[in-house]
Amino acid sequence: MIGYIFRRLIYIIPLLLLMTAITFTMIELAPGEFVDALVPPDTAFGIRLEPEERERLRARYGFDKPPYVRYFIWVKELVVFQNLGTDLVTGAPVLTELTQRWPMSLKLQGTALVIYVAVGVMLGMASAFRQYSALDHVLTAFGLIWISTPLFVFAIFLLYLFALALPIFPVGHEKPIGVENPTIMQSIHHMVLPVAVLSLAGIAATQRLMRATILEVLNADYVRTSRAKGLRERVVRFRHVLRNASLPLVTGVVLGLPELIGGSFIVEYVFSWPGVGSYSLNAALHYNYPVLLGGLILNGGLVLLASLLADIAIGWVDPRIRITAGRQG
Amino acid sequence: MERRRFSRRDFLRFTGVTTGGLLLAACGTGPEAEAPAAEAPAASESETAAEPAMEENVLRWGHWDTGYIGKQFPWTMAGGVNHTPLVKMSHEGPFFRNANLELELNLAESAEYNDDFTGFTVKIREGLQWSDGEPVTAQDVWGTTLMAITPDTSAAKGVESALQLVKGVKDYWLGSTEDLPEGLILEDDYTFRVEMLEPWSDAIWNIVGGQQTLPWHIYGKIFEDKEARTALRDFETPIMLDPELQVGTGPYIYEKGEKEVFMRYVKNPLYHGPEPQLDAVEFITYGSADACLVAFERGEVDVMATNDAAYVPSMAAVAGTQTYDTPDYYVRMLRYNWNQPYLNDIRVFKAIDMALDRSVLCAQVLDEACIAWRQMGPGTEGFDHNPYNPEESKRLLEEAGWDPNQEIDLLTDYTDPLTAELLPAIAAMLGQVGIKATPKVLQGPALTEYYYTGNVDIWYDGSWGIPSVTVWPGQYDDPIWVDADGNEYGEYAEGRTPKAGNLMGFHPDWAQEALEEYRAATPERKSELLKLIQERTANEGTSWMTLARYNRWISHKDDIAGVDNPDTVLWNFDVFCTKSNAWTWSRA
Repeated sequence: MIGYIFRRLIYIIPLLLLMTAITFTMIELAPGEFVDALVPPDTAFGIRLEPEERERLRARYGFDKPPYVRYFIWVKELVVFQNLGTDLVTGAPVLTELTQRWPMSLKLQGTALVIYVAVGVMLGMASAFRQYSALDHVLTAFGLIWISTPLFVFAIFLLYLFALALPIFPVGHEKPIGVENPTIMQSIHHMVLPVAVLSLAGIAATQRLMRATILEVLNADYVRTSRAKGLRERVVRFRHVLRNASLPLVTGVVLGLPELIGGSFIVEYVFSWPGVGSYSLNAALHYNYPVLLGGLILNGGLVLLASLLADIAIGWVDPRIRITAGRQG
Repeated sequence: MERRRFSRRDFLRFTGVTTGGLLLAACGTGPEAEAPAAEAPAASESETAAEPAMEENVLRWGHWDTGYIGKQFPWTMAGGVNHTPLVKMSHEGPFFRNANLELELNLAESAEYNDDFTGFTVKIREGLQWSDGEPVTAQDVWGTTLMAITPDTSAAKGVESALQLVKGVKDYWLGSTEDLPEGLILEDDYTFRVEMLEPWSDAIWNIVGGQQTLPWHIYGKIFEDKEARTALRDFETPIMLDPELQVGTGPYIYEKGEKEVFMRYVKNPLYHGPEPQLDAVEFITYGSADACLVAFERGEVDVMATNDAAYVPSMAAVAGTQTYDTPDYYVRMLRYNWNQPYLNDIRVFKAIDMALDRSVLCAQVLDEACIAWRQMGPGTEGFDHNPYNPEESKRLLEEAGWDPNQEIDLLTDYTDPLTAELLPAIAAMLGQVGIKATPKVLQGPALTEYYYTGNVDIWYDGSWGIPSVTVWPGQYDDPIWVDADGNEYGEYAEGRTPKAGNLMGFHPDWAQEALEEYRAATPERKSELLKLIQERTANEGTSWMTLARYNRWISHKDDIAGVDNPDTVLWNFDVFCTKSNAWTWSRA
């Protein structure tokens, strides 16, 4: 197992580099560059940037070098010095900026993850065990609405509903303005809306997944046998059905992680949450590629690590997979 | 001892406990988080909509653009237009501009040109203090100017062209020399002198008129360290958010803030003017306009502004508030290519100008995000030579022999939805007078090639910042200027001529001569010259037709504690606000 984990960890490195290379190429292919973002062509009348000054600016930010050279410099700095570069706008080290913001994002994403899994599983169970009941129809309908509605629409809707019409939650920010050390209750109070928005789509997806899987398992022979043996329904459901139905859930949650992280960009932006998402979103608007690449390394690394953890978890949950892996490995 | 196997149940239990622990740890922030509830206001007390925890005489300004807080060094020197009103609260300059954009003395006691307008001297008032009690001197003005022309500390966009007219600045900026420019002279503790390469009677306005002076006794020490000083470029870097560095002379002083969340300014007890009305002003950033609007409706902020017309009805509907529109200074225009044979006729130019009903375009197409606008900056009032008149337009076209089969392109590189609606509307208006116009969107290399091969007919364009009255005659079409050696430049200077045939073709000799004369003219002569320039352009045309100017709407609560007249918080983002600005308000 340790060898397997080690190999997987090694695979993550080239994968991350490939992701950064693709992102870097996409940034390069986009029209304009950071210097243009500093001095957009629209401002030409007002600012009068001379060609030589523009070239000097390009040189200052390293844009006088070919793109592949800049990319390899970035990779070398990362590998040799663990340096993610500097924010082109503020001049601050990207690593420092990300380190400061990452806990904020993790708080949001982690909470949303726990909630959407827990609530999604419960709703999926309720829906499956009461198939074709009114509850099942309602949950299915809501699930479809939640899945098909863009995140930002939910964000705005909940903002108006629970921050204005029923003003019980704050408009944004991760703590009250000016309060340096918020209490746990204050923190939770500020988390409710963004976490709710971020969780909703995941809840719906999990609920749909659990419902389908449980219904499939309910028709399995071993479930019929369990019932025929006279096991109590509660035991059948929780010991046999739920355990077997939870396997796809682990994969489903991992596959949903990129969506969760991507969704947190929007949620952080709307709710003024000072995390990696809002930081990266602003960076994207300004061709601030060191920040974008740094954010990508962080978020991509998280997804890949989560994928590894999921594989390990599946092994724990399903002995068959562990045995197979053990024999192969 | 029996070795116990780590079971699946153990794994799930471990995962659950760890996750829960992590979440709890993330929600709390250390020992302080466990402080007694009485010390930390409970959420229900501090954040309910009905009773936001307002301090006495604190104005809260909501916005959702983090860039608004101010980035980079332009906040000390930005082409005469300061983009960051927050800094205006704490940092003043030798002068300030009143609502009529006239310079008034502030930290300066006097300012005088030399006889031939090739230099000027600024005397700083004695007895002024920084908020830390240190005296304000001419060295502060000198040092601030120096920081503005030093690449490490200056605006990333490059040194202002105005500053390049100061002796030695250009070489210093380009790194040709490390010697400090000889044109910036510190004569004594209270006297600062500037020498320029050529006469310019608006040099004070353009070189130090927009400056917000920084305390050199603090920044000078940072400036000496070549590594550390780069952090001065950005107002949001930790170095700039250090309250100990935020020493100013303005009515309010930065007290504390959180990056991209809020900034708080408090009254400066050593302010040299009348006592400021408010105890504190807070700027709170919201992630989106919707969040800011909700905060405004909840009463968490006293003022909000937008340039998105879609939000105006909601802002105006908030009870107990007032909403005003104030013109932003983003101008939209049509650039006109005189090099095209079929357009090179003043009658055609006038006919096109007269065919456009700007009011309709703004009200019905741009959804009132803009207002019809014909001027090109302060001092050009009345620059409205061709009012909407389709009949006269048709007559002029007929007189000019316009070929009804001639097709022209309406070029743009904008891809926003408003432009997508606007250009067909313009084409339709031109169609009504008999001009076949087709909207065309190009970007990147295709645009460059199209432009430089002379294909452009009319280009829908925009401009942040209205060209100063002193340069607009020479800025008809943003030409490339060529010196005697064939080097190309983006701006006019003595000895440079427009590069022929490459752009939009409007380079009348008289305009260049007028510009040169204007730059060195006495104030009395300036107004006469301006009139002459306007009359001449009325007869001969220009290279652009202004269309519209973007609006900005500001809403404020009727009752703001500590403010006698809430209208005075009509605070615009730039000095072109016709009603008020940060300066006048905070000084009131």
